Amino acid sequence: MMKRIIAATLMILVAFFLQTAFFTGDISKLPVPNLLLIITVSFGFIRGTRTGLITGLVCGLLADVFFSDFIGLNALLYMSVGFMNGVFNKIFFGEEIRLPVLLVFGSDIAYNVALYIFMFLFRGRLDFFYYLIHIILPEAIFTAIIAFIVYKPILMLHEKFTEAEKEREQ
Amino acid sequence: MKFKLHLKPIFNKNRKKNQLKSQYLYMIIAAACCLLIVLSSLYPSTAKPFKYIATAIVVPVQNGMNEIGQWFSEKSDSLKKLSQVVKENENLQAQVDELTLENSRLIQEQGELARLRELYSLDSGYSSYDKIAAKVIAKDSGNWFSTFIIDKGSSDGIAVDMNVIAGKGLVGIVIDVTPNSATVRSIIDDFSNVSAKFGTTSDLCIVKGSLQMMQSGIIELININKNAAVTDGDMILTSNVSDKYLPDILIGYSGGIKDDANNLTKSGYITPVVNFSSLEEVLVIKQLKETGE
Repeated sequence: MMKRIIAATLMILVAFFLQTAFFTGDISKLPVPNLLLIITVSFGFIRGTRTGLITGLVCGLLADVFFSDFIGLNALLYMSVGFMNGVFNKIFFGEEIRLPVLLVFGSDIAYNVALYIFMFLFRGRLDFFYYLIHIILPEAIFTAIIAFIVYKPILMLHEKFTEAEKEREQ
Repeated sequence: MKFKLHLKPIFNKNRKKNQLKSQYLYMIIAAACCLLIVLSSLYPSTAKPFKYIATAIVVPVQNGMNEIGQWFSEKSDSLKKLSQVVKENENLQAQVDELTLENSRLIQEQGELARLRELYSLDSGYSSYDKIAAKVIAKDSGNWFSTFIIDKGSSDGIAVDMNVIAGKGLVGIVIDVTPNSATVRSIIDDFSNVSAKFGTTSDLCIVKGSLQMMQSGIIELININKNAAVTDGDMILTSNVSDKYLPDILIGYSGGIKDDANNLTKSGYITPVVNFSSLEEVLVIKQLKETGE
């Protein structure tokens, strides 16, 4: 369990650094993929609601602490995303990669729409479809593509840990 | 290919118990988050301890990561450049001809400018302010905002509300500091509002950051008096009446000015002089605006 937590923490930190520092080169052309969301969604989907919501909380707090005027909004949104995807863990499980990628895509859209409502709509930026097409969809698509690449390794890591834990129990 | 999904036994007793627990956990933490949102937006100091701890750990690593990222982008840049350079060369040749013409005209105007400067006794700009250079180490984690973090903080003498410039023009303002880092909100951020003026006529206006307009590389310019005799291509500077921005910092050049529907004001856009997509180093002006309060 301890190893799992350390690995998860490392993964979150690396994702955060990549998201904030690595993709800064030519940001005007490519949207920044939401790596923290990928981690939250895949942890939630693989491990369940509890892991999902705690992962989301950590990721959200990290984003909040650095980039928000106030703390809590991102934490709340990421946590909800993790929890919702955890619910899917109760229903489905499998090696199939399309479902988690689809979940990442959907979660990213949901997260950004919520962010739009709280941070933009309330200030009178009403042109939702503009933001949907120019900000939300590009990010969601790009994030889903990255999820397609990194989901399998995350799942494999999870399975490795599970095996190790089982062995120790026996 | 078929979906290889296996339905899990939903009514497993053990699982159900666990689910109930995490639902409560979710509700408790969600309530805590809401409380935190309210608290930290009412009293910004609530967020301080979180920020101090986080930046102390993360900033050093961020510095290193940033270097790796830059190395990669430099490599890819140099490849792109080769093909670009050829194309650019042609364009530049055409520009040289154009500029030579313009230059001769400008030389004539230079004399006039020198005379006017003397009249207005305009200081040679912001070169006299005490500045400190800082590196951009992280940008906002999403695509909605244009805030970034620099590697200098209060231990280097940086304070909230200090102006940040890069190259020729205004970049933004410091909104938050920790001992070893500071958060800067750039003027293209959707939350940004800068009180500005036209360089020639000193008519006041407001430079309002807009995510929508920034997609095409421009910033919104609003609240220009309808009777102001302003033209496209004029310099936009920070105004004297702003309570946070120092006066006479260049922001950009105006364009697309037209009457508003309310027939009281004019609006347009400005093209910023700073290239926001490739900010790597910025200068923080250590002088705070004195508001006489």
